[in-house]
Amino acid sequence: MGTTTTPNLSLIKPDLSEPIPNWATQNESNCDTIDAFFSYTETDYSPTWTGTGGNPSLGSGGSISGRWASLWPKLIRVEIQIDCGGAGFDAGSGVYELTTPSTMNAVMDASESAVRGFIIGTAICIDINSNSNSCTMAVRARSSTTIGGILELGATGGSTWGNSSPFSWAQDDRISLYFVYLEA
Amino acid sequence: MTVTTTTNLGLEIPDNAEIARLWADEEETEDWWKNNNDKIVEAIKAPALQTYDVIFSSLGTPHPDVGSGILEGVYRLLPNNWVQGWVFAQFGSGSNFGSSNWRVSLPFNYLNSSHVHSSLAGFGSCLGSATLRDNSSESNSQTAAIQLASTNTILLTTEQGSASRVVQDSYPFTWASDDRFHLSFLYRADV
Repeated sequence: MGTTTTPNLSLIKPDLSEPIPNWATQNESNCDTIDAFFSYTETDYSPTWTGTGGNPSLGSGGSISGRWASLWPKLIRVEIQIDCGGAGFDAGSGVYELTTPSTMNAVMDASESAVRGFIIGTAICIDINSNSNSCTMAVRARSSTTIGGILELGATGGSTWGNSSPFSWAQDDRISLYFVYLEA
Repeated sequence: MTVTTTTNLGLEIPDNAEIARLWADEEETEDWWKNNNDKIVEAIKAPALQTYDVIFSSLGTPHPDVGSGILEGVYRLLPNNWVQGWVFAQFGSGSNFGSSNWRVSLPFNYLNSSHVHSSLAGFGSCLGSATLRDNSSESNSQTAAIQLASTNTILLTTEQGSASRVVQDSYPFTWASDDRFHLSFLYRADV
């Protein structure tokens, strides 16, 4: 009688001497292991919005909403919307970041290498007072738990999403974004 | 004899009696594996690509029409009704470029509850990215983002500098024959 196990999922492999009556139990264990790997989770979360020189704060009626789903084992899709809100909005200062719902695999984030930080999604920046300021933006991993934005060539204020780029963030401006990453 | 199924994938788990019965009949055992768990695993490994009829419209009339060009949509249905899709359009002779903001249909309705869904006008979810190609001027060509417009349509948003932030007949450039766009999107469908 004997069994061995696979290296990654520890699936049970009976050998030729393993009695047939044990197979049902072993097969059930294997099926449950594989099945659990594909369990689906989808839930809201609250991203933290920060600026390297001072954190932004929402104005009246503003909101930050996040939701994530597990598309595949270790593959997470995140969607975030920020409505800056009205009176009292403070844009903060510096480069903006948003927190992720879980830690990213080191292979994709900028903490692994200063010049790394893969592009993992897309954003739409809306200046409520100016269509021509509004634009798209690439979403980039900045650390194992934060993302930021990279702007197109020639965008106002520089190449990185921040309090004055791609425009000076002000009351009622909005951003809608999504990204997909490998979990640690 | 009993066969139960797992929660997420529906893998079939035969009990001892069922395994003994299958073991006694080699042909039936082979058929069982081919038709049950193997089929499920194979479907997960390689979801089938499907085509769909893309409806290309605009807020005003007449609606855009690619004329003798190409308009095609492809998608695959991932586990838990996530949809990964692509659209390609190339304007040909006899094209019409519509009136006001463009809309492109999705293969299935969008499931509101699985997304961040603001009630603010013009603030739909970002679902993907796109490229806009001016065939006569590379410097006009640009990237774009895909934003939800309604339960089953999306719109395209431009780079900075366009007087309309939504792609339409004359934004971010004046569309003409041989110009084209590619879309790529990912969302959870209500199916």
